[in-house]
Parts: sequence; C-alpha cells; structure tokens
Amino acid sequence: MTEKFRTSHGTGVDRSSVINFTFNGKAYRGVAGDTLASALVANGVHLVGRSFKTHRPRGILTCGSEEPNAIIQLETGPRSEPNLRATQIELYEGLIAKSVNCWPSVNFDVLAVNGLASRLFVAGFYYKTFMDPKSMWMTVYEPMIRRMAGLGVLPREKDPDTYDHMNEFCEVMVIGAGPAGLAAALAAGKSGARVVLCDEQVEFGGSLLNSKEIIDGRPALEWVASAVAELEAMDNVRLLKRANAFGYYDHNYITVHERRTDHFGPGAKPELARHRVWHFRAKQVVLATGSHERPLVFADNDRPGIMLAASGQAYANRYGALPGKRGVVFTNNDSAYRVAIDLVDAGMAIPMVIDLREVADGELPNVARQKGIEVVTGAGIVATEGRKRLKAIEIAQISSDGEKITGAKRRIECDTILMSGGWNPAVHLFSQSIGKLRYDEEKACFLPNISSQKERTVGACKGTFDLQSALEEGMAAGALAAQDSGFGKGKAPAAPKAIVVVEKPLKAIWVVPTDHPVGQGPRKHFVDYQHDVTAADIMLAAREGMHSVEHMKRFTTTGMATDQGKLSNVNGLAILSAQLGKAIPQVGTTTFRPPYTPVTFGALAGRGINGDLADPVRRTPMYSWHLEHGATFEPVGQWQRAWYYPKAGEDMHAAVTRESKALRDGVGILDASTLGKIDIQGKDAAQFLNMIYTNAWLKLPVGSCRYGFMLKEDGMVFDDGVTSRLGENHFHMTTTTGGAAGVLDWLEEYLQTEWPDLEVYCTSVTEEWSTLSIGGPKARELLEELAPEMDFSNEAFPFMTWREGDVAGVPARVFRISFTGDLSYEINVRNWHGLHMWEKCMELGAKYDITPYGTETMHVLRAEKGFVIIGQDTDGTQTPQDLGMDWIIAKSKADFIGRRSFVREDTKRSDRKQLVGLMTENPKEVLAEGAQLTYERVNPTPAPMVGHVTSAYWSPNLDHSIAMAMVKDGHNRMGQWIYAHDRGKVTKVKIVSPVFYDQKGERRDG
Amino acid sequence: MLYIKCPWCGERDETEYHYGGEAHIARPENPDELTDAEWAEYVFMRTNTKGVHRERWVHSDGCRRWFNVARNTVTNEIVAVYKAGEKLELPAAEAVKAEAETKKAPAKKPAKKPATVKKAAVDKKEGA
Amino acid sequence: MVDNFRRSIIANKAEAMINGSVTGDNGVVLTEIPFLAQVNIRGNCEDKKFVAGVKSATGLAVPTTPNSYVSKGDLTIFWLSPDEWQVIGPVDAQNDLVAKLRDALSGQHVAVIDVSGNRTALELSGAQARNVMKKGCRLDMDPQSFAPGQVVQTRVAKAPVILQMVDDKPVFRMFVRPSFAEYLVDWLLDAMSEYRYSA
Repeated sequence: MTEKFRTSHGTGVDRSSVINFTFNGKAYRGVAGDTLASALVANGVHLVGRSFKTHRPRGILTCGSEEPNAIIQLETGPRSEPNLRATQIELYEGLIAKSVNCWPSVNFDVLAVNGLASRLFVAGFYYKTFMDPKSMWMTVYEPMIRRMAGLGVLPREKDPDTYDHMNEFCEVMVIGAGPAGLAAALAAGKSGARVVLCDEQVEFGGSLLNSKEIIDGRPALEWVASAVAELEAMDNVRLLKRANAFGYYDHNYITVHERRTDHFGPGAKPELARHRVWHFRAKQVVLATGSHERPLVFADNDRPGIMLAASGQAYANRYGALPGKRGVVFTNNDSAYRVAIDLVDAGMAIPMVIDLREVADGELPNVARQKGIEVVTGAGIVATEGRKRLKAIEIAQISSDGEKITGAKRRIECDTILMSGGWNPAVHLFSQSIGKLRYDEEKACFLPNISSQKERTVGACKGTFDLQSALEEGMAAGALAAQDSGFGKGKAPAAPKAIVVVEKPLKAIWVVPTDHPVGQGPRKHFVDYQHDVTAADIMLAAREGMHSVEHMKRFTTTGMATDQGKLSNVNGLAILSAQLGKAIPQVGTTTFRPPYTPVTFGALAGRGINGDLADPVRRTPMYSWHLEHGATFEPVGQWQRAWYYPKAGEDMHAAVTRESKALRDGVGILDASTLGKIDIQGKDAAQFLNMIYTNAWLKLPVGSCRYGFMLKEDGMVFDDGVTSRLGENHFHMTTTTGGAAGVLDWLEEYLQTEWPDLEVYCTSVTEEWSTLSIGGPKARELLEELAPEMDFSNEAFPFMTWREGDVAGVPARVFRISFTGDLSYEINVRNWHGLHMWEKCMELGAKYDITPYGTETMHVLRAEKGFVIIGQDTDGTQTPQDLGMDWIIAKSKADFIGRRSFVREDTKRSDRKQLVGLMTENPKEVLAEGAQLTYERVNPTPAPMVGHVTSAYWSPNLDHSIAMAMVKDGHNRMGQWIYAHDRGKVTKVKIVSPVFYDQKGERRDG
Repeated sequence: MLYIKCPWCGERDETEYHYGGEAHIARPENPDELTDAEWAEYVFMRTNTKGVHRERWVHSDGCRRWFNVARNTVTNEIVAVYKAGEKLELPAAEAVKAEAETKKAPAKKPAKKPATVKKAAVDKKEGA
Repeated sequence: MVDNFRRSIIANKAEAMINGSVTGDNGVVLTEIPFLAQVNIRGNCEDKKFVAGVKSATGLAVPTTPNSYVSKGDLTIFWLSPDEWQVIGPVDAQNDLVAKLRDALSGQHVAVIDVSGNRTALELSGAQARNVMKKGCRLDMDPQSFAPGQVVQTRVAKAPVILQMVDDKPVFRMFVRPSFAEYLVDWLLDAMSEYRYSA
C-alpha cells in the first residue's frame, strides 16, 4: 500500500526511513516519526474502530492521549496489550495492531445491528434493561454485557517484561514540555535547583510540534531545539520524554509513567525495565499541561473523517499526512482558521469554514478569506452522510440562540470535517491536587482558581492560549518556583518573542440543531464517543431526575470510559446545565481522579510483577531445613511457617495425625521463632506490666514466667503471650506472631503519651532469638542430653519457670511453658545458632523418634486443650470473661487497661457470645470453620444466628472431631445440642467444655 | 501519600508511620469514678473535624516516637508537627477556623475528669 | 574463640550475590557482612553521667544529632531515636561491649541489650549503588541530602532497615532483620539486573 495522503512536508517525520506495519491484517507502510494513527492517516485509513454500545464505525478523532476512538490491541501473544491509543503508539518495524471493539472485523461488525435497535440503548440502559429477574444477573446479563461491550483482550501468559520504580526528589517539577513548560524549566534550571521536566509525548515542544509558529523570528521548533539543548547541558535538570504524569497526590507527590522500550518493538531491549514509574516529591510544581480541543456536538458528529481541527493540522504539519482530500472547518472560534490556512498550504482542499458566530472579522478569518476560503457565519452543520467515511454534509443558518435552523439547507460533498468547539484546559492534575476550579464565561471552560498545594499553573492549562503570554508565564513561574524552593532570586529570564495574533471570543453553542428535535429523529449528537453517550441521553437523565452532575455521569456513563471524558466532560455538563436551566458553575463539574491516562498493571506492580518480590517473605533461620525436609508452608502474615511435614504418600490429614500422636506419645519439635519478643527493663517495668496485662505482675519471682492477656480500653482481648522475669527490673515478653509490631507500638504509646515518667525501656528482640519448642513425654530426656549441665527435674525446673545455660554448645534461655498441654520446653538461642540447635535436636532426638511438626499440628494440639489463638478464636470483640478466663483478671488491681469497661452494661450481659467446645454427633465429621450456629434445626427466615465455629479439627488423640465456637449464652448451655450450618448442610453438635483432652492437666509435668 | 515531618527524623512518607487517632485525649486517672457514659466518651467518641485536626502519629519504621500533627482534613495540609507533651499555638486565623469547624460537629468532649497523668494532662488543657 | 555453630541466614545466597554483582567502574556490588557485634543502648543523653559512661566504655560520645553516626577505630555508634543508640563493632565484640557498658552505666536508668543476632548487614557499593537504592528507598538519596556520616531507619523495598551511608564511593550498609534478608537480597539482585547488561 502506498501512502496516498503523505505530503512532502512533515517536521516530525523522516520520509526516507520506511517502516512496515500491519493493521487489521493488512500491510501498510509508514515512516520514522509516525505514530500508528499518523501512518494510518497517511494511508487514508480512518475507520479504526467501532463504538462501545451500538458498534457504529468510528475514525481517528485526535492526535493525542485524549483519543476516544482509535483504541487498538497491539501485538499478539504474551506481550499483547489491549486498549492502547493509536495516537500515542510510535511506529516500529513489524508492528501488528488491530481494532478492539469489533467482530469479525472493523469493516463488517455483526453487533452493528445494535445500531438499528439503538433506541433501546438510552441513558440508564444497563440499569433499566438488566434488572429482573435477579437470578439472571450473573448467569445471563453479565456475560452478555461483557461480550457486547468488550474492549481488548488480556494476554493469558505471564508478562515476560520487567518493570521498575524510581524514587526521586526535586525542587521544581515541571509537567508538560510545551512552550510554557519549557520556559518554566529553563528559568528554574538556571537557578541551580533540581528540576524535572516531563512530557507524555515522544518529543518536547507540546503544541509547537504541530503548528507553524514563529519564535524570535525563526520556526518555533528551532527555539524548542535550542531550549532542550540548554536544558540537557544542565546537570541539575532531568528530562523525561514518553513520560505521563498520571497522578498528583498529597504533598506534591507526583507519579510519572515512563514508557522506556515500547518504541523499539516488543522484547527488543530485555535488559531494560519496559516501563518505569517515577515517584517524585517536589518542593514546587509547575503545571504546563496544555489544553484539549473540544468537539462540537452536532448531528451525526461521529462519522470517520470527522476530526478535531488542531489534530488535522498536526497530521499535516508534523507528520506530513493530510486528513483527507476535501474538508470543511466547523468552528465557534478563531483558532480553527489557522488549521484551514495550514491545510490549504499543505495542499488539501478546504473550500469552506462554517462558523457558528454571526461575525468572524478577526485577523485569522481575514487571512483565510484572502486564501480564497469561503467563510459562512451564523451557520452550522446540521447533518452528515457516509457510513465508513464521511461523504457529504448539510449546512444551514441557525438562530442566534442556537436553538433552531433558520434558513435553507445546503449540501456540500467532503470527506473531512475539522471541528473546533473551543479549548478545555487540561486541569486534571490541578484538580487531582485538590485545586479549586472556576468557570470562565468568556473562554467557556474551567480554569484553575485556588491552588491547594505548592503549585503554579501556566500556559494553556491556565487558559492562556496565546503563545507570547504562555512563554512569559512559564519563565515567571519557573523563576518563582525555584525561589520558593530556596534557589535564585525569582527574577524571570526574558521570554523569547512570538508573533502576537489577537483572537476574537468564541460563541458557545453546546448543541447544534438539526431538522428534528434532539433525540427524536434518526440523527445522533454524540457527546462521549467512547461510551456512545448522546446529548439526548443527558437530557433524558436530567428529565429522570439526575440533577447532580455526579448522578448524570453515572446514569449515562459520560466520562467513564478509558479516556475518562477528556473531550466530553464540559460538553456534557453544559448540556445538563441548559436542561436544568442553571448556569454551568451552579451545576459544577465532576472530580478528576488518577490516572490521567491508563497505566499498565505491570508498571504499577514494578519489581513485584515477580510474585516473590511483591511482598516480603519472612523466613526463620531453620527455613532451609524445613524446605529440605519436605515441609509445606503456611503464610502467617509475611512469615512462611512450616505447616506440616508430609512423608512419602501422606496427605495433610495423615501427616497431621502422625505428628499429633508423635508429640503425645514421644517428642515433637516446632519452629516457634516467629513469636514476637520484647525486652522490657527499667525500675518501673513490673508496674508497667501490671497496667498493660490483666493479671498481677509485681510479685512474679525472678526466674518465673506468666501467661497474660492484653486488652484495649474497650475491655476486649487483643493479644496474649508469656512474659518472664529475667531480673528484678527486667522482663522478656512474648507476643503473637502477627501482633508483634502492633504490641510494641501500643506499649510505646502508653509509655510516651500517658505515663512518660515511668522508667521503662521496650526494645524489639523478636529476631535476636530463634525459638524451638520441644514437647512430649520424652522431651525431658532429650533436653538432659542436649544440656547435661542443666537440671531439668520438676523440682529444679518447674512449670512456668525459665533457666539460662549452655545447650548444645551455645548459650541459651530455656522456658518451661506449654501450648500443647504436654511437658514442653522452649529453647531460645541467638538467631544465627537456630539452625545448629535444630539440627542437634534432630540428631540427639533420633533415638526418641523426634518428630518435627508444623503449625497445623500445633493448632490441633492446642485445641485439644482448649487454648485460644488470638485472631482465630477471637476477633476483637471478646472479653476474657467471654473466653471463660475470669481467672486471668486480678480482682485486686485498682486499674489496668480495659478494666473499667467490664462494668459497662454491654460487657456485663450474660448472653454475650462465649467460647465453648463443640462435639459433633457423628465423631468423624469435622465442622467447617466459620459455620454459623442456631439453637434450632429449623428456623424462621431470617434465622436467628447465635454464633459461629472458630476452630475445627480432627483430633487423632481423641479419635473424634473437635471444634471451638463462640455461642450466645454458651456457658449456660453446656450439654445442649445446637446446629451448625455450612452452605446448606446442617450438623447437630453438642456444647461442651473447650478442654477436650487431659482435663486435669496431668501431662504437663511429663 | 502524605509527607510527614517526624520531629526527630525529618520528612518521611506516610508509609513509615502509623496513625494514632485524635490527639489530646488523656486517659482518666481514676476510671472507676466515671459514669458509663463518661467512660464511653473517653473510649469511643472522637471529633469529626472538618478543618485543622490534632492527631497522633507514631514513626514506626524510624525512631518509634509518638508525636502530634495538626492537619487540615480538607486539604491534608500539615499546619504543624509537635512532640508529645509540647504545646501548640496555632496562628490566630487557623485557630479560629479550627474552632468554628469543631463547633459544627456534635460536641465530643472527653470525659470531664481533669486529673490525668502529668504531661498528658497539660496536653489536654491546651488541646483544640 | 571461633564459633563453629553459627550460620548466616543467607549463606545460601552467597553465590548469587557474587554472580549478580557487577564489578568495574560502572558497577554495583552486593555482599553480606555477617555476625557483626551490635549492642542497643537506651538512656538519657542529657544526663552527663550517661554520656560519660558510654564514652568510657566505647571511646565515643553518643551522637545527639538525629540520623547521624560517629566512628572511631572499629566501633561505630548510630543514633536511632532520642533515647536509643546502637553500637556496631567487629565480630565477637558484643560480650565485651555489653559488659563494659553495663559496668560504666550501672545504677542509671538505661538498657544495654545484645542484639547482634537481631539484624545482619548487607553492603551495596559501586557507581550504580545510589541508583539501586533509589529504586527501593523512598528517601532523598541525592548526595546533598544523604552523605557519609548519616544513618537512617527506613525501608528498602518493603524491608525495614537501618541504612548507613559509609562513604561516598558510594558504599551503603543496610542492617536488616534476618527474616527479611533473603527477600531483600533477591530484590536488590533483581534491581541490579539492568547494570549487569550495561557493564
């Protein structure tokens, strides 16, 4: 295929460098510097997609990131990416792209029949059509909506590319490298401050890349080149191209998405991260984000060949690609006359400019007239023809209030309309920064008004549409931003001189009439191209009571497509305002939220796209041993804990059964290193513990240990653990694995903010110590072998005491505490000795058939004894009394955290949910954790739920299933039968004591 | 993401901190002397300030110090950062604004018992 | 006494660290420095007796400027918080350090805790080290903001670390809890990958 629409000009392309590509299965040629869109335009291809709901043929509308129509799927296989804008894809050799929302092809789309039934697809269509019956929501409606409204296709394979993040700090961050942004960066850069300049485009220059402006008497692009060269020479300036600032968050935190390798083609640079997300903290920000041209809302304004005026100008000037053979310009302002002039100069036939204003007597309209272009004023396009490409238009005079056609219609054949409804400053980032907007009547757009952060807006983004003023604003803002961040004196360098052209005001006519009232005939006035929202839809929304812009948006889905309404928001709002008879500022605008344009998940994930790096995996010193010995692992927060150790042929049930019996019959060993450990010392340490635990601590002897509950002030249990007295003023506290960090913050909170005069220091020593729990009737024999110098007899080393000594050749603290109910010792050694100690235990324990066990067996064994696990059996709404543990509350203490709450009415209620044990009628049936409980088998609807199962296991030692549960009034209902419900299955269970095994506690002494 | 200046370690990302709720609510010294309603006020009730809010943060990833922040809940602007036990006087305009905003919210005063542990008591009297 | 029983938790990563490092002028090198002596001190630095006690035990005055450290010979003291410091010393020095400090500070409201096992040290050095740090650390890593003499507690990737700027070659030391060490090594090696190509 030849490039029939390519001219000999084009400031941004190299015609000598040919690039071959494929679009919708057809081979084409483009040139270096092209985007996919510009290459298609050069080849005369405008039909690039189908609309979202009615599958109408759609063409290239813009040349930038605001594009709603040219949405494509790039490449195939694992690197395929859906929903990209053809206007932003740089052409590379061999590129393969296709349209997304069409089947089987963009030329013949089966679902275009939706267009025939388009009266069904009115505003609120989804809400109204897919309502009843509810049973069809998931099974019929959702798949149907997804198929009809499908955008691109996600690849199924793992993403082969890498992504990274970079954190940077700067004094001045300039976003947008058009004339104002370049000026700001130059001024700030000269101060010596760290400056960042980023732009989403491939080249710096912004609007100057597309136009034929003159600066300092030479083409503007020459000024751009010298400005960029000057910036590149500054060590303190960082320049980022292909870098979209997509989020402006609190405290000048700005995220930028840089596409680093896409333009080389897929997989061409494996060494580099494909995309990078930059995280900037800037002392000062200058927003120079430019503006978007606004479409005109007229009858059938969506045919391929209808394009925004300045985009047509860009295709001709920058890419040397004419948008068509014969076009008309349709405008309500002076700026589009520049487009007409440039296109005529580039060789396109532009016979006519149709201007909604009654008078067009500005400088530019007069130049156009001199070029022989007919200027028709007080008129509008009232109809268009052509399905896959525009063929002709009808124009007519319209009343000055824009309400109706006043004259005869005139038909003109053309393949292109270049439309301009004025300009919307790209205030998205300003709005994200919580800046407040104001509506400007004269420019008919929203402008930045009050900044919320350390930020300045310049150029077109501020509504400054003339070049000279934009350059001056940029220079001034750059210098002041630098000064406010501590660099320079705030004096702006002289701005270069542009040619000043005075433009006359625009005239806003938000809906151009046609020969039937809007919404009543066949012609459609599109507002949101991507979501197929028409002016009639918005009017209907208003009539149906959607008077808030936020309601209208959601009801019609205006602005909710992947382009986030960059083109449609103001038009939609203006139509709503007119319908409600209110002024635009009274109705207000919707909120812009990040991202400015879509960002790939890979980029957001960064290195985390490799699952192992997404979140820390915390390992104990014995992790490698567990791994080598076949353990399966269970994540506990970030920790990976050994779950069970299956032998050949064993499933989980068999392994846990074996491990559970082994401990009760012989000796088992558990890696308990993950428990939180806090060193507490100071002369007030015991008094402090007295306040934070429910039980009494002042008289605990040195060398002894005590189990305790911590409550929040609401009286509810939030952590537990054993704390041991190392010295008169020195304690070793343990916490739950998950609670370690939270408990330390909480202790510090009370020490620092409530009782700053207490002399207590708390220090985390969680990882100083590795912890090995050795339990079972033969544990003592093993310990005696490990530490022959120590006395492990019940008399010398009783339950709930600790001793220090040499164990297996290394210094250790041994605590005689038990979470299994059996004789048990916890050996603590320095982290780097953990693996040695474990191996020594396994070696010396071999003759006792020592069995390593994991967290699952630990859970079973503790449940046999009725020991609670905080966070599993509790959820922050249990008092110690609810758990049947009144004994842990020291009645003698005047105060401790949470105590006062026990006398509140709610915590005194006798019918609170209380911890009980449950036994199933069928001994083999294990309940589901989370199963809901009722007193009766058959219940009214809704059923009165009286509790739920918190823990449930098969107990090999009892040869019976066991469960723990929270049951309303459970303590008074011992022996009663109740019912557990699990997804339709009902199980009869008896309320029993949660202590199932060794109720007298005879086993803990061995 | 907020950028908070720890009074000791300097400016750090919000992710290094944990939020500690409203500041200057001192734990009553003699909880038993409070009615249930007064105790519930202390435990559960907090202001819902639109405007400058005094709140506590702890620099969990850094020095582990608890400290106070005066933050505008509308803009997230941090008006001041001060150490636990320190006194903060807002610029007059801010203070008036803060008071006006607080009055709009239902009155949520901590328990009436003034006696609290040392410095915390000082804090409370000076609090917003 | 040589301790034959101790094992680094990332001994399994030694080879990967050698292979993943890039030597040369534009390189970046990751190594572990295991088993360093680390002693945590809590106390009141406005109390002259405390300052004198630490000085007599270590030869160093506790640094009172946040985010700073002082060094002399083979001992270094990090500022960690207004009442917390960490002494870093050579392998096996911890028992002697603890004994001397407890002796010199006896009778005062202090805590002296041996935390040598609580963290291990990773060292990242070379021309690209600063860029690698920027990928994972959300502090201002530019030379004017983070220089030799500074130590901070922060995060690298998602691992909490004590991060010391040793010199401006640059050399960074990260004291990381052992449980996070393998994750952090894997993360850093992955972040270093682009420099392996360019070297």
